[in-house]
Amino acid sequence: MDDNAIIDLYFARDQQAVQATAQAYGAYCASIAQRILDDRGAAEECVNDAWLKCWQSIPPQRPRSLKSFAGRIVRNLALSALRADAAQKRGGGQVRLALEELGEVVSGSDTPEGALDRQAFRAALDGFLAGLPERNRNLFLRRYWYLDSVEQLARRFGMSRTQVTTTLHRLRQRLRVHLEQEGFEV
Amino acid sequence: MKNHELLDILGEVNGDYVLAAEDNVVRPRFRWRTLAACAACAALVLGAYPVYRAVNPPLHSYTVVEGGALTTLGDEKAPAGGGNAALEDAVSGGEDAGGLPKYPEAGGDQLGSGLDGEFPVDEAAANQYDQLLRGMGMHGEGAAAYPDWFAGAWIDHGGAPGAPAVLHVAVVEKLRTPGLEAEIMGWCGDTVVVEGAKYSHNFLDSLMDPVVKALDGSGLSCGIGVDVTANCLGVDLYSDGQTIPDSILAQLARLDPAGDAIRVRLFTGKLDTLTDGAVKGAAPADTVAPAPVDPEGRSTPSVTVDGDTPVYHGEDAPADAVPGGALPGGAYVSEPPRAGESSQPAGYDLLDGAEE
Repeated sequence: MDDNAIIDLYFARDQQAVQATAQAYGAYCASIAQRILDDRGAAEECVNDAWLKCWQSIPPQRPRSLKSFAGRIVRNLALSALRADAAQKRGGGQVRLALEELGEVVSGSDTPEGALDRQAFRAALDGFLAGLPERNRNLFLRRYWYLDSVEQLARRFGMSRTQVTTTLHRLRQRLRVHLEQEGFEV
Repeated sequence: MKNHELLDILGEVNGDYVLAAEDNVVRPRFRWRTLAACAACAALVLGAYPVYRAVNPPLHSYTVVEGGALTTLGDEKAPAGGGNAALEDAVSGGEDAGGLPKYPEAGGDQLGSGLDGEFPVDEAAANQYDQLLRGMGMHGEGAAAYPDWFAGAWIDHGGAPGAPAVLHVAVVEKLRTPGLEAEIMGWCGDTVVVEGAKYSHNFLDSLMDPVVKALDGSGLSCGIGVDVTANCLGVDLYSDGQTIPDSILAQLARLDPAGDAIRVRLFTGKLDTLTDGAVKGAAPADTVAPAPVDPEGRSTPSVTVDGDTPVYHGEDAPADAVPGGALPGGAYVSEPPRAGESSQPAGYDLLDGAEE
């Protein structure tokens, strides 16, 4: 069943929509949650929450890509769960490392409420990603979106761990410069 | 800005990029420099050697022999010198030096030279050879080709005056079987000696035309013939001061990659053509090269000038010359080498490249 058919089921409020989504993207979403939470039970719980979130969000939203939409929901839910104490105890090693790395890009100071235009910031990030070579863009997203470990990246991209680490460091430096050029005080 | 805020917002980036990263398959970066280096190495390995070989083709080895002038009579030519010829040096590995004819240390009379009297051809051995030809189905005119196992046959006088002559039959080693040996002995008797050889007579014969073609236009006088005792095609070149062009040696090397099917010798002597049809005096006894006889004349017939009467070989031989002169069939009569001279191919085609 393709995305449009599944989304039509959501709009028809047919509960088959959730089953179809789980059948199509269950493994994909589970892998995202597993990478972030590093806990099988918590990941399953997170994915189930994501189906509910999808049921609640569609309609009114009509995502262009259901896979991307569901994956984003799972990622956000997993990160939220990780922030909770219970989730912290489960691990979340890659998230902690990713956060440490992203600490090089941002100052770490609190952002005043409403001071950040999230939409503009997201557009700046998209602009940054658009300017990267495909391979580097994929590497960056695998690390900071999917939260792959350095070892996984090295295997996936046929690089050494040192090459992965070095490339990611350069990409973060480049991101910082890009955001500053876009007028963001990060 | 906090790092977790950045991580959160990163989760909202363009979904297409996210999906592309998900679909991304491991594709090691294509490295042009690596590819170029590999290609260069491959080209070096695959291309350089053939190119080098094309520019510097392998050359056939040859042996330089001092002296060895050639005297001819009309269209018939014969080696008439070389009595003092000494094997001077072996060029290009000198494997030919080891490939010189294995003439037995026969003493006494010599067939064909006429200088020291007729070399008595043993009638029994001649008959053995005749039986061999019959056994192979080669007897008579228009006989079929030699069998593939046949590498040659010759009569060896054993090295002592009056010693009984022995027929030697060379058999291609790969095809040599006890059954074949028994069959040969059945034809020729138990006294025949069966020896192993690498190349068949047919193969060596087949090399002759390409060799002649290779020498065509070189300006070198040459004698070509199958030497059954050495199991090779003997190519004797008379340089008259010339060297053998590399192009010819390269062609010979192509014909004989193993380097042992063709024996090349360069005699530094000069061709002396007797245009008046008469022999211009007798060559000194010690300057006549041995000229083993090809009685059947399978090789181009030749004649050895002995100062009084030519001794015919091959099909020019008068019928009454057998025995005591030429023998019918592909056998050769070996004769003893003299001190300081090298052996000649058993059968001779004497060509004058300069005339062609």
